[in-house]
Amino acid sequence: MRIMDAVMEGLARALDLREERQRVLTQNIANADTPGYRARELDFRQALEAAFGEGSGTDKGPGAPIVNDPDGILREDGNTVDLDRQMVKLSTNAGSYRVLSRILARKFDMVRMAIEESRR
Amino acid sequence: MDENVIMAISASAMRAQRLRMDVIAANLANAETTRGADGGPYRRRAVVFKAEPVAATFEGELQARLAGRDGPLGVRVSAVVEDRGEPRLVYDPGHPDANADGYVAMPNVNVLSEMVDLMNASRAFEANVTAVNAAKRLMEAALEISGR
Amino acid sequence: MKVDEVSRLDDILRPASSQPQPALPEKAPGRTSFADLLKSSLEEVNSLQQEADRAIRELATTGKTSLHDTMIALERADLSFRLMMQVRNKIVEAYQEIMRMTV
Repeated sequence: MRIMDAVMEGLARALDLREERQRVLTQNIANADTPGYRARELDFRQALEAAFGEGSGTDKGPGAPIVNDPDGILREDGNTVDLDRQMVKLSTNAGSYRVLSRILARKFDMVRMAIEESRR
Repeated sequence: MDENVIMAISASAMRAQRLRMDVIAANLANAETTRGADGGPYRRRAVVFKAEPVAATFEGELQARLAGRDGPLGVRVSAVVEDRGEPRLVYDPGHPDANADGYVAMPNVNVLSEMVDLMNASRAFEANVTAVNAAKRLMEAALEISGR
Repeated sequence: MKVDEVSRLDDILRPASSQPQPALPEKAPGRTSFADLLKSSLEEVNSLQQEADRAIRELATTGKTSLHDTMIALERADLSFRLMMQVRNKIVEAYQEIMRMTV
């Protein structure tokens, strides 16, 4: 008996990744003025594809690697955080998270409907 | 990773930026102070930011390191240092602290650059407030997954 | 009609074809005893409830689990329980239907 299909499992994994990325971006913003701090980025594309790929099971698989942000600009204090860019990333990432959770909620609604409507 | 950690990161940064603003305010207030704590003119102070693991538990750190990544990093003001720059000499023979040549040693505070610094600190603070609100929206979205 | 549905119950209870579930015991190829199926399903519902409880406990005490994982665990437990209740209702209906039959 499986309540969640492959797509829903993928959505759950995607939420994990979005949340972790939010953490990384928040950390960049917090350290926007820390000398020597290198902006990070979650390299999540591959993990995301794996989450929705063929034969993706319930196991979470390997996490996405955290890398140095390729878009970073080196300032004279050794810091590579571009605050404006990080802010844009932060809000789009939060938006993606909300969309994904809304879709997952809708999928749960459909499962619930399938269960409850069999009562006749 | 969870939302509490995200909040803790932003909170540490907000605390650090607040302290930075306090220090700037002290610099501005003392821009004309010729008798500081050590007798001489006030010396400009500056904060030193340092990235620091936030809410680090041994277990959390161990897991992060085993996964080959660093744990969540917040910010901390590791020190408040005095600017060793020379005091500004202003010619004002009538000043009670004027030397024999009529020059007064004024604090090495540049009001204009302090104001710019203050604006940067305030902007950085706002950015972290935005990050907290974003984390809050994440939590609200997560709550909508279940419960009808 | 009701009896017919009972015979289809193991189709409902069978795991989605996309993922084979090794937990279910196979009696004969292609045929599983209904009782076994029911039992393993009940056990699964129970373990999902426990999983949700664990997630809630962790969220409340350490705050370590992420919110969405907890909510997903809750929803999974809730829906599997509802499904189980529907199956139970169907079985009871079928039983009553059979009891009413005049032989």
